[in-house]
Amino acid sequence: MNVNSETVGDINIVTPSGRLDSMTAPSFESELLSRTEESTDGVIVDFTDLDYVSSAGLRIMLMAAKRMKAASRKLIICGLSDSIHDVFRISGFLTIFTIVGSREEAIEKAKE
Amino acid sequence: MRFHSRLILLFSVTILTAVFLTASLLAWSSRNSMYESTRIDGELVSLLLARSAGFAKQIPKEVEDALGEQMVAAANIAAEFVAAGEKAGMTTPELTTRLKEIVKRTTINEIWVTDENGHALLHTEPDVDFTFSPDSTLQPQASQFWPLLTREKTTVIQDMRKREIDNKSFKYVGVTGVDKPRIVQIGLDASMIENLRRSIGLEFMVDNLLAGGDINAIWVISPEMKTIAYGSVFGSDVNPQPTPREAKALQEVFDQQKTQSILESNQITIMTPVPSSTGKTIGVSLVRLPLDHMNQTLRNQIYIAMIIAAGSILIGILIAFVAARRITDPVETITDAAKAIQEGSFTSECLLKVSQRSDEIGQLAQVIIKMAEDVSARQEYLDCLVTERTAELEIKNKEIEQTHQQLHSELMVAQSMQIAILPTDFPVHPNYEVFGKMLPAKEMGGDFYDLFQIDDEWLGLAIADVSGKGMPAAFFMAVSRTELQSIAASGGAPGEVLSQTNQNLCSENPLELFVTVFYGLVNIKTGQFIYSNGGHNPPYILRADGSCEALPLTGDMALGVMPDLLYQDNQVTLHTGDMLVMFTDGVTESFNPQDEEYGEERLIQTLKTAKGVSAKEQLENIYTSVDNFADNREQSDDITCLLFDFHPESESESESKSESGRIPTSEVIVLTNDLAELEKLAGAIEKYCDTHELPPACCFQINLALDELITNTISYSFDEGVTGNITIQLSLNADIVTILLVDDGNPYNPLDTPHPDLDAEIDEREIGGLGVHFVREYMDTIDYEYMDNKNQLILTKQTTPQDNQGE
Repeated sequence: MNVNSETVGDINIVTPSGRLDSMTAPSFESELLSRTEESTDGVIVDFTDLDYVSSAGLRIMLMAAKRMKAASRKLIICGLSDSIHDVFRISGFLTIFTIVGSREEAIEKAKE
Repeated sequence: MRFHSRLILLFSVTILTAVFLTASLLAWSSRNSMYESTRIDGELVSLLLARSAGFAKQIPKEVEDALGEQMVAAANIAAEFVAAGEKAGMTTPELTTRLKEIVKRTTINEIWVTDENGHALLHTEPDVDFTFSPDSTLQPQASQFWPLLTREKTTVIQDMRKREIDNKSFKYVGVTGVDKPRIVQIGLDASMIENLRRSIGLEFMVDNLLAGGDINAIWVISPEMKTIAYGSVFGSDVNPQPTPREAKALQEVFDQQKTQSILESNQITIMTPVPSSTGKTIGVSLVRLPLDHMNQTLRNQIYIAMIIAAGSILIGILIAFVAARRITDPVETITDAAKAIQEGSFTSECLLKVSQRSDEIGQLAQVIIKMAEDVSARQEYLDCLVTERTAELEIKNKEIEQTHQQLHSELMVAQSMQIAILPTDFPVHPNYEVFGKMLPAKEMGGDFYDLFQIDDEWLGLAIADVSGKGMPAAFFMAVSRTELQSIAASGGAPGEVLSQTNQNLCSENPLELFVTVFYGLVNIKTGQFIYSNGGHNPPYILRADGSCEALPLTGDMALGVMPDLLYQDNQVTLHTGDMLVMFTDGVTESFNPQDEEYGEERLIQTLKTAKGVSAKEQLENIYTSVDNFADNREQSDDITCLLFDFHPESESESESKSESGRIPTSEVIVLTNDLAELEKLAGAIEKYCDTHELPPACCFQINLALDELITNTISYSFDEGVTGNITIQLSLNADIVTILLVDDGNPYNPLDTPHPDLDAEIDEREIGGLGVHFVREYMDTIDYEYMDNKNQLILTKQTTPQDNQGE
């Protein structure tokens, strides 16, 4: 997998692509956690290019969410495929994460 | 060597040694005594010589002295006669005549009368003119009488001596003249004294001794080492003089005054001092005595001793024979008796005589008789026992025979039942024809074939061969068939069916039997044939064009050997006119009386020869061919065949895919315990889902479930540094995917993981526990089992979306 990071204004956008499983999780973890630490406004994780995510990926999301919440910053997820959306659903993550459809919506949401 | 011969040899050697020693000792002592006697003889000879020497010196001297006195008297008479005659005026010739007369009539031999000048005036010798001279060199003998002329002496008595003129022994005596100085000499032939000396002297004794023939030679040697007397039998050539050795010994005799002797091969030399009458040593006698006589005597004695020894040995050997016989006879009798005991023909009479002896042999014989009686009694007892046991054995044998017959008939029933349970009603279908047959061997075997009509589309075909023979094989065959039947009925992929059958067989296989199974599903509409081969010999496809090919193996092991094996699927497509020929090795391993094997080549040839015929005809064709080949040789194994002939009504159908779109095949994925393998897993699952046209969501969920489970297994089930295997088998039946997940790590049951609290606020949410939650959510059933050191999870999932899976 690849992890692409960019900033739009003060918003960090992290875009993982490919498979996010226990094998690839560590690289995603270091990237995302460093982004959450340097961000001032919020972090958007764009899952549009992500084909697959396992519990290892969700664990990192949960960790990031906990940190952002502690820092009173926003963590917004966008671009979930049906399958990944379903994974989030059965994980009970739909209620504890801010999930929007597209990246634009996410930026809007971050600026709120 | 026999005991008897050994005894004889022992006796003979003992006697021989004794006789030889005695004879040698006797010969030695005899020789010594003879030598001693010879030596004593020599000493005696010496003494004799000494005595003889004494006599020989004394007697003649005395005689000569007496003779001298007489002659002096005669000379005085003659002097008186001559003085008187001349006074009376007798002439010289007259006086000479008178003197000659006297000489003639008396023992006086010569009378000499000289004048005052010494001229022999009157004498008795004819034609001699002699004048005495005082010159002793001129007349050594006659000069001694000169002093008579000078009247220095009145009488001269001369010792007897040899005369210079004629070398005769003469004794002369002279007196001076009565009337005037003159020499009146009387001469006497003294040969009688010589004779006397000779007759009693050493020489004579030596000669006498030699004449006896018992002495070779005698010397008498003076202390000056001069020979006093000598004589030899063979002449001086043989024993010329004392040898140096003898000379040395002689010197010792003189020095030590002791007798010495030298022993040579043919003679003995004895040297003894010869004492004179006064006891002084006058010389040494050296006597050589021949040993011929002694040797001869010795030889004779040895001959006699040898004859006696030979006689003794002969007698000894004879005695040895008799004695040995006396000793060995009873021993042989006892030996024969022992043999007789062994052969059972012993009677105590044959040892009666020996047993009456009072020695050890007698005692031995008595013991043997006693022993033989004991043996005989025991033999009788044993015979009795054998008879009893034989009778019992016969009864038992009859019982066994009855049991055997009963068992046999029961076995026959079992065998018929075994055949009877195999399907004989073969379906009649326009698209195919199927026929099977099992020809059992004499002993119960474990071949079977089977058919399962799964649905309208799929037909299951199985053929199997259980290892071993007899009842266990027959039972295992029944168990295997039942298991296969019940598992195959669900319509699962052949590999999955074999995997599960193997698992079940392994858990109920106490005798460690195994079964080779070929199981396939044929689509009777399309001709698609999916199969899995558990160690069975590959079936053939006899194509419509007459070619024949063996189905590639799937590389799997026979069932019942090892649990947790996953069997692979393979597939081929049958076309119109193709025939599947499944068989057991009973076909190819049939033997003819020449020990030749029927073999695969022959089978293929048989199939090709009859190509195009129906399955039933082809089946009969195979059996006929095998039967002809075997040529009445007894069948050693079950011969089983199952033939499927595909001839669909519509040709086009055979080219299309299955109507339901699902092909009951299974996929096996093998991974190692490394997280990097997850990508490989994802790829394999995607491919499987594509092949089987499963919805993408279903594919995602299966992938996620397996990802979570395998991640957990790799993390928790394996010790660090240990490499292990994780095997996944996916099989699809109708719309249900069955997943078998097996790993050889430590026991780990993912179902023990607690459910996460899904409703917790973000702050309270536990990190983790989601993986197993996904598996529970996405899979319909989950079963965990730990057996044979393996973790085993069986998951099932319906592939069509369910109601509860909505948004």
